[in-house]
Amino acid sequence: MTSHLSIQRRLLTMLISTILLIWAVVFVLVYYVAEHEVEEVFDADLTRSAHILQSLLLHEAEEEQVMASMAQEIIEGIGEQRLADFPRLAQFLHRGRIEGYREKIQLPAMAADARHRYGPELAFLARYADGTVMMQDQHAPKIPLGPDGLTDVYADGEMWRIYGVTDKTTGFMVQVGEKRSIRAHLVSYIALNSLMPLMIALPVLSVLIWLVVGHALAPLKQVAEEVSKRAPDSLETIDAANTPREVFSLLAALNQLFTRVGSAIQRERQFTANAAHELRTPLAALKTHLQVARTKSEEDSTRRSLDRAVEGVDRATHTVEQLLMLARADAQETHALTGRSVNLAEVAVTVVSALSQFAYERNIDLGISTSGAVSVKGDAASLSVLVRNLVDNAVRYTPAGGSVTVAVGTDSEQSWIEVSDDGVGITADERPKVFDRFHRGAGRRTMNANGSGLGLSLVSRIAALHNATIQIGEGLNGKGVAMKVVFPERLTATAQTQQPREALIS
Amino acid sequence: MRPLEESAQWRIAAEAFKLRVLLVEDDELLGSAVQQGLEQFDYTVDWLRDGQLASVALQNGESDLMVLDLGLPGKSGLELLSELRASGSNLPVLILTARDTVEDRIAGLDTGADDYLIKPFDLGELTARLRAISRRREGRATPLIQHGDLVFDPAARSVRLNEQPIKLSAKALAILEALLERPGIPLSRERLEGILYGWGEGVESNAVEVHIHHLRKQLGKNFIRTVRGLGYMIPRI
Repeated sequence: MTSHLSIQRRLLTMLISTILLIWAVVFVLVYYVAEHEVEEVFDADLTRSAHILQSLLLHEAEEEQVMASMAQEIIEGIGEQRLADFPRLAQFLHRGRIEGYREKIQLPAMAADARHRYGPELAFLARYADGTVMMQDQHAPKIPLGPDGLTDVYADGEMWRIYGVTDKTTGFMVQVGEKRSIRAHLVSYIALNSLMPLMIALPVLSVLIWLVVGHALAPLKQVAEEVSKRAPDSLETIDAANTPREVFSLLAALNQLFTRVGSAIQRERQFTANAAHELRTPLAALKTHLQVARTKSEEDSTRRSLDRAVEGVDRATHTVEQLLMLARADAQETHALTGRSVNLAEVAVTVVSALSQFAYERNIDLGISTSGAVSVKGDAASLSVLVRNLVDNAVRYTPAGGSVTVAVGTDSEQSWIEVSDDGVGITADERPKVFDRFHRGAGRRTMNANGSGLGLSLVSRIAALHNATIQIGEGLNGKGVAMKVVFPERLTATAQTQQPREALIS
Repeated sequence: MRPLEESAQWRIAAEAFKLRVLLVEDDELLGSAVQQGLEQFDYTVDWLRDGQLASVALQNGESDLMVLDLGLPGKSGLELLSELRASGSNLPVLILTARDTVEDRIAGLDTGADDYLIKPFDLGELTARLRAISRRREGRATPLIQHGDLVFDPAARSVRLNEQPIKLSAKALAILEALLERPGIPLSRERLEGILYGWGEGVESNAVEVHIHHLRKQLGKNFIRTVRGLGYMIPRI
């Protein structure tokens, strides 16, 4: 048996994979949206910080400018020549003119615990127009003097996001930087957090899907059970009431098939029965009229002719019967036969009893050899036809004075029935052909046997229905032929046996 | 069967003693054949071709036997038969059927037929079976069993071969009777032993063989045939 995928398992797999796929897409989307938002918020923050810092520090720069211009005015007021007399003042004023008495502001190092956890990732830098540092964060990397606006800069082994702003009048520049890794970290954190509840829900969801799908499939399982409980050859329709629509259409189709097959079989049987009736009744009339005429006739030669005519009727009858049996066997299905066990020995005894008179009339010594019950699986009526045809065939084709012996037996693996005669036999090259329909052996055609040429086809068909094989061997006393039908499995004699149907009648 | 005397009076008397057979067969060809055939065997035959008509005829109750075809117009053979049995009649009925499946035969016998024949049949066999079923109905009032040159009288427990009385033991007669009742069908040794048991005494292991041996000695070697592995048989003639 190939393994059949369970719909329940398949649905579960498909649903869970779909959900996982959707979640993956959601995750990617969340990631990108978060990244974009974080970028905007952080950039805005960065920009604002830079501007606040600038506005806070700008007065320092302006002050210096005022100081410088004041120093300039003083220098000009005093005059360079006179100032030369006061070297220390000149030095002070010159410095003021150039630098405006600027101060360097060092941000105090914050206590480690007081710092925000993103603290080390932030940096501030303020410079005068000439590039001199006015204020610097301790942690700030060596950020090069960049353009105004947002830029990404690689410094100290990390990527930094920098915002720079320069005052138009003073050239005072403030730069605020932030490690890019903060943002990446935050984005993944947001994305993963959005996924977390779904991850927790997944096992619960799987169990729920399994249960719900199982529940939804229950009617299907019920139908499958109902179908499997039926007898193999049952063609009764299945009750389709109270089934869901999907199952109903399947059942309706099945029921339609059952009905169609049923009526086909019915028609077939009806045809067989009708054919039997149509052929048998005129044959019966013919035979009876011939026998009436024979009784009335005074002439010996007329009587002889009428006897031959009766023989002809008998032969036609035999052919009709075998054709009908063959038609019935052809219509039978193997699976319909494997049900019960049949006692082959009992079948053989019944058949030999029924054919004893026929054997006597042909002067054939017909005998049987059995030792206890031999059970095979199959159909008693068909097996009876099989044995009857084997024995009939042997009696028919063995010359008068000959013997036919039926033996039934069993060994460790198989059961068999064998019909042997001491007649003319079958040549080796003719053996494969004996089961052909309407075939009659060369050595046998000469005999006045009235055979139909169908007996062995019937035997072979019924044997095939029972998975049995036919072996052709040498007959009795090194003469004739032995036909052995071997049934594959051996049943114990204690198995319940089916009464051969013929035994009920005779 | 030739009338012994040709006088008209005897003929009328003989006619009165003839058995009356109601033949119900729709097929003209077969019906006419069976009618003629049965008349040859000294039956008076009323032939009807319709189940409805047969049903009416049966109510008159003039028939001694019925030969019934199963496939009939008007009313089927089985219907006719079950009606007949329902009315309490035990008229001997032999069914002629073209349907040879086991189910059909069982249906016929279950409905109350005494015997059946499958078409086509032998005229001799038809009359033999008719004799058998009418004998059964009469509780063996028609005793004599004739088999070739042998005549067996079950009531008198006597056998004549070629008009000569033959002396046989009671047990041998019982075996002979059993075999004569079913000519052409072998009876097993076990079955014949069962018949001997019926005579109340113990049966020795070779008792059947001994009696058969005696019978053959008296009636001829081939009168009783041995069917190897099965038993003994008196063939039909």
